[in-house]
Amino acid sequence: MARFPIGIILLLVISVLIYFGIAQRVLDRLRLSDKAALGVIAAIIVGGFINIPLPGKPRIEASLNVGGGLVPLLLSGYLFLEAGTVKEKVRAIAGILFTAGAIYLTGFFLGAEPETMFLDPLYVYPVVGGVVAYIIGRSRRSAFIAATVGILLVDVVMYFWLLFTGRPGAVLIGGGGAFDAVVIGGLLAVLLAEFIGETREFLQGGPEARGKAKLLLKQLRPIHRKEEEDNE
Amino acid sequence: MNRVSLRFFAFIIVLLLAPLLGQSPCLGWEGLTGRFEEERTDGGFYTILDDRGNVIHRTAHKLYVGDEYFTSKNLHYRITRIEGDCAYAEEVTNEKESPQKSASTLEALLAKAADSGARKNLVAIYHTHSDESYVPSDGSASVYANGGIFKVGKVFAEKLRSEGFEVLHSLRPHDPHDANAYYRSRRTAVQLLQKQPVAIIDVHRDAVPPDVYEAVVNGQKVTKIKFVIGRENPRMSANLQFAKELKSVLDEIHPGLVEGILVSRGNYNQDLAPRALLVEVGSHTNAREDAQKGVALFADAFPEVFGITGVRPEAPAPPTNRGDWKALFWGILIAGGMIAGFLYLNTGSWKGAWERFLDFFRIEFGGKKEGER
Repeated sequence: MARFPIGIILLLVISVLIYFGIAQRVLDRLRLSDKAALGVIAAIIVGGFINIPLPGKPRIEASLNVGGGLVPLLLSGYLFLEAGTVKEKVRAIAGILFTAGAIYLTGFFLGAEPETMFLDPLYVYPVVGGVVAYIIGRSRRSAFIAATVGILLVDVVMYFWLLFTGRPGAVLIGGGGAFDAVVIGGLLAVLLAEFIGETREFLQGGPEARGKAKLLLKQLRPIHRKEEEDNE
Repeated sequence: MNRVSLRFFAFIIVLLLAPLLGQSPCLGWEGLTGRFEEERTDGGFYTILDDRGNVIHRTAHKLYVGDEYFTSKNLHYRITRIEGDCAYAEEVTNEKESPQKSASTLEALLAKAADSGARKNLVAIYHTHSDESYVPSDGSASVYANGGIFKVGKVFAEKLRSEGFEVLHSLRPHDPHDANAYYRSRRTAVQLLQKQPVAIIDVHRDAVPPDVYEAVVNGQKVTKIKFVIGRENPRMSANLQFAKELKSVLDEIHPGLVEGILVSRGNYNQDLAPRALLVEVGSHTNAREDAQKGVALFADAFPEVFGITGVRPEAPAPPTNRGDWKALFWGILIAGGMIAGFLYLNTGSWKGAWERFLDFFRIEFGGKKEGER
């Protein structure tokens, strides 16, 4: 039997803990409860082993993975329905379309070999999704929706391209389960939106208070409430 | 929009365009036109030279400053300058010592525990570039979704089976050969990893003149093999250690088979497992039959590296784990740095960041409620 030294065992255990630990905090930032966040992570892990076959043709294999595709899609749908205003919903949809377009264009401009690229596509897509979603939506929820559904949409386009052309190929939507680009994309996009938002606030010395609804400002730290009162 | 916002959006635009700006000017047009381009078959390739102008290696992989190369003689070079198709490299260290070492008592105990577990002697093989073929044998450098590389993979799988391994060989096509090929093959890699293999190998071929990979090993004409490790990968140290272990064994049993180890940009799905490897078996200009003989010799290293008993008479050497520790150290350091940086941004001071960090434990484990002071 093959042997595994202690280093490799620790590496596997700790990297899994770090990854899912970060994932839990990210979902927490999407205003899910602690239990719901853990439930989603469990669904992603378990669902990673379940593939729903999609109609194909000879030598065209297509499936939707529950953990890497369906759960992030359902979560995005839930977050979309939970979005506070019509404006936020419209922005989320625009984010999805722009992300899918930007990812398609990025794939077009990047060469065929990862070493010719500035950054591996695995990391480029979440960056694109996160940045586009932040510019359009300026919210963590729309960052998550835009990145996950945007990346999924590229897969859907590929699926129909294969069916239409009849060329052999495989589209396993979310087939990487918890480690699929869809899940990594959603998580990194939220982190990126958070990072950009925090950096911006840090640079300008606090959140922008002018012209914002009082209800939103209520949640901010006392210093900003003071700033708002001063403005009034 | 105030000045900070403007500066900020400029930063975002630069970030968004960075992947495009990062392309070399000489590849820019190819990037535009060659969306579905195949491997370079125009005879173009990159040459790595040492400071005296000696050729160290030639490859179709695009090279960057900071990429590394371990030669067949275990000389370790780092690329310091690139001019056109020439990459100039400096020697880093001489890694002549063997990476094999004896296991500690704790390692031995854990190894024994792992031995009695459910893990099989399973090796997974897949092909991200399922079109890659060999011109002299297959008639073309690229055969859509059915490349000669599948046949090379089959020989590799059969040889591993004869060595006492179970093998999962995926013949799933990941075409077209474009920027998203690794994105698609990632799903295949994850599915294969769900079966808990001890190693996962992505089998490719290179695109350079035939002499780079031509060799006579143990009296038979074969193509050499080369390992490629992705630098944009948190498990790089572990993967590199694995490549070195394989090379060390092959240098002993089949001297001259391994051309070297290239550490280049990219991820190659190697973040998924500590024993994930990309292997180039010859070039499109070599005969596939020679590549098949080369890959069969490559399989001979596996029993020793994974300590499979009953195949080689001598006691198997346990795998080393220096690379695993290194990967672990960097993983924890990077995650810790990111959390610290984020808390600093979030609170505006290091003191605040520390308080927020302690609050997490107070709330999660100490019974303190959120919002309490």
